[in-house]
Amino acid sequence: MMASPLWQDNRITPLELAGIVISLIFATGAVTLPMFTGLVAQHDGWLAAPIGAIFGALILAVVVYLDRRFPGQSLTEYCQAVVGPWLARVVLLLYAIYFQHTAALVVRESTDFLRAGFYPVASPLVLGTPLVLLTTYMSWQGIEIIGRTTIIVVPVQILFTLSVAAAAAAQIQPELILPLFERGVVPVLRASLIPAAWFGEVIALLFFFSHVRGARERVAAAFAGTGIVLVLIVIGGLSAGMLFGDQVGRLAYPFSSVARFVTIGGFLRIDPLAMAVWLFLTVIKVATLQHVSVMALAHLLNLRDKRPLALPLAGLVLLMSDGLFSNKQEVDAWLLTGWPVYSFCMQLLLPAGIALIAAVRSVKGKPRAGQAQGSDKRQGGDKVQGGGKMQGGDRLQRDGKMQGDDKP
Amino acid sequence: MKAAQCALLIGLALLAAGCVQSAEVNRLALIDLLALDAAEDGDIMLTAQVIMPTRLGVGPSSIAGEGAPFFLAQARGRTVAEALSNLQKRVPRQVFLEHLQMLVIGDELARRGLFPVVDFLIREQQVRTDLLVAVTPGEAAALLNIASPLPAVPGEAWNDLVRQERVAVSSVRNLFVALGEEGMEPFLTAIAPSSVQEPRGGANLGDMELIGAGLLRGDRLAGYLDRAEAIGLQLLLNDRPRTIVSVPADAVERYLHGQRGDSGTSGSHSHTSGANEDPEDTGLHPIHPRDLISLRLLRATTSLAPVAPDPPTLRFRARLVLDVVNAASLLDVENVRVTAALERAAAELFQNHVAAALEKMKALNADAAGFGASFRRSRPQWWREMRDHWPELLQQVQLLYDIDVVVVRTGLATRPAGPEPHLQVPGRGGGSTR
Repeated sequence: MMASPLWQDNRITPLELAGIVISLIFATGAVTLPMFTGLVAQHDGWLAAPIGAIFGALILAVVVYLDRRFPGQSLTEYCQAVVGPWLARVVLLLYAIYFQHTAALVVRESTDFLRAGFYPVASPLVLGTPLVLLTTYMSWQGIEIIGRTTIIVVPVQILFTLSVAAAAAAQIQPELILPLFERGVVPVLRASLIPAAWFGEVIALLFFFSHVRGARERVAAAFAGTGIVLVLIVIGGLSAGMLFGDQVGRLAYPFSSVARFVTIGGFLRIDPLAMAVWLFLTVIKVATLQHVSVMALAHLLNLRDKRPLALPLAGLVLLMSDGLFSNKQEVDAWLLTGWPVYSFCMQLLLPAGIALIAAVRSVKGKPRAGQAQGSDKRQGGDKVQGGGKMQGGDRLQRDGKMQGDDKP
Repeated sequence: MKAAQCALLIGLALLAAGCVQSAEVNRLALIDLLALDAAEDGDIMLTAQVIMPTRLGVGPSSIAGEGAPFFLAQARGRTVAEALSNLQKRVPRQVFLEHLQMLVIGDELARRGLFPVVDFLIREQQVRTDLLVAVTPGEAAALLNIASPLPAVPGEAWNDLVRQERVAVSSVRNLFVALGEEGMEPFLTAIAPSSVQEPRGGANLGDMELIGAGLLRGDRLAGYLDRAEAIGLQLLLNDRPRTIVSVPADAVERYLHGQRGDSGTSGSHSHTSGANEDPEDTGLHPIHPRDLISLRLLRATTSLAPVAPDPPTLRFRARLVLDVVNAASLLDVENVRVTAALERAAAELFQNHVAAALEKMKALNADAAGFGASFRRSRPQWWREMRDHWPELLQQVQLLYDIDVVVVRTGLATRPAGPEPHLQVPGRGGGSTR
């Protein structure tokens, strides 16, 4: 399948969007999140996820608000109209760096996981290169390929998570997570900053939310995806908490430890599957992050064909994944302390600021020709109807589509 | 373009197959059992039982049946990891722990403290958290030298024995969790060598025997529970002990006649029923004198709930389901009145097991049942104030017993197999005393 140089005809279904949302949050959260929340809140760590999900829902609300305000457009298209050309460039540069950085972090977490549990002496580049090659191929092809892949791998991940939890059910000790809020509410609230940063990964939707069919359906799918992840994270957190109690924060990969503990039928070990299935979602997440990073940078540089950026940025992801942190302890320290603040700025403050400025300045996008008000009544093919396609290098400001786009 | 895509996909597939960290089976030293003992200068002596597959009938040059299917290798180190690394220098194959069945810890090392060992077990990628961990009153290495006459890899056989007999089963996870759980102390399965003599004065064919549980205080071994006490501990922990208990017939008879039973312990004798009366007095032929009814514990559901803090009092509730496996008594176990009395006598017997476990825990000052953790969960405020005094408060712990025993079946037989005139059937009478 040949990809369009502009990826403008890449459309995904709400179901695929839900799959991407699940991957964005659950890919790394599945295995490591109970450790971080357990470090801060011990056996109450699992309670942090629902609070973190509220943060994710808030970010989704901002994404939906901007989508409604600028129908059929992504952040790259309306940013300049809202904040002006220079600030728009800064915003896009920040997001390009942020997604690039996040992709590198996810690759690093994946290679650390593989080295800690399976290949202790393997080079991180040897483990990371096949992963990044695959994600680069997917991001090159566009969001449609990424979306379709989720249809295959996300159900497998959900099924696997539930299977591990079910296999552990016979041996869990529910009393290990009691009493609730033993050390008060504050540790749980502090711990919730970490899942909040994970749930906030849905900010990537700002770049392709308009590519999802059905205005109402995509909103429902995004929230449903977040809800499903919340359930899965709570199930994973409860399984780990009920098996390891207060010690859950002392395990580097608690849910992986649950998978290592259980057997199916008393003899079948399933932890190698945990590695494989977890990597499925990691592939989707890294591909999505690479894709939006390329989109942001290409718009910033006014490139007509975005794809040439994919390979060099992928190389950068790989090198950053190895070079940014000298060891896993640094990764953990960053995820525990720096990451929540950094994420809060990029995931909520920045988009909320853009939404606020758009509201104050009354900047609105016009529905494109042929685009039904309130919903995309697209049938069959993947083509964007009407004049939705940007021409001439996808310049940020085009054809007077924006109101108030002449303001600084 | 298609060719390029195909090449890329094939390349990725080849990379995905990967041989990183490959472990060829013929280059592995499969460790079946591991023993850790205290060595001089605070060191750890590690003994590994390395399987010899050729003696198990595996491979073309198999020499099955010729000697024990393993050899022992020993190494010393300041930590477990160091000892293992030193072991690797002595065994010319890759030491492989993925097939490890059980870790046995010697008494002296266990009394020295176990958290460094637990840390290794949790941190090492080849060790699984469901690995069984046991303690032995002597030297652990001596246990590994036992060559069972039965044709099985010893570790697998021991693993099966511990998991099936379920006498205070402890795994790496149990140990790890209890070490981090406030108000609860860890325990370990206790094992020891057993002596079985070959017929006609042959060699000692001994194997391993389950002897109860080792209790830890903090991370140090404090003492041992015998098998009956270990059953009591398991009931307190809502574990599911697999056991046979024998109820004296006299205890059953007392309940049968409306008196509170004066229960004995498992295996005790009773001399009240007609079976061992003087045959001259009764006019009946003498029969076997033992008067016990053996019951098998099928299911156990228990709970501990604090009811009062001063002195710390907890209600112990248990619902135990049993069946009759041996009526070595003339009481008619098929009779519903006898069954009801049997249930009450069995409840008292289990209560005695639990009480014995409690007394031993108090004596060792080791809260393996998690009485403190029960208070912490149900009365967190009280616990925050009293946590530092818990070792003293443990000595005052009292239990209120609420044990419900149900004897659901009598096996493949109904009445006892004894001679009909001797049988004691309520309402009908029978035996010499009726």
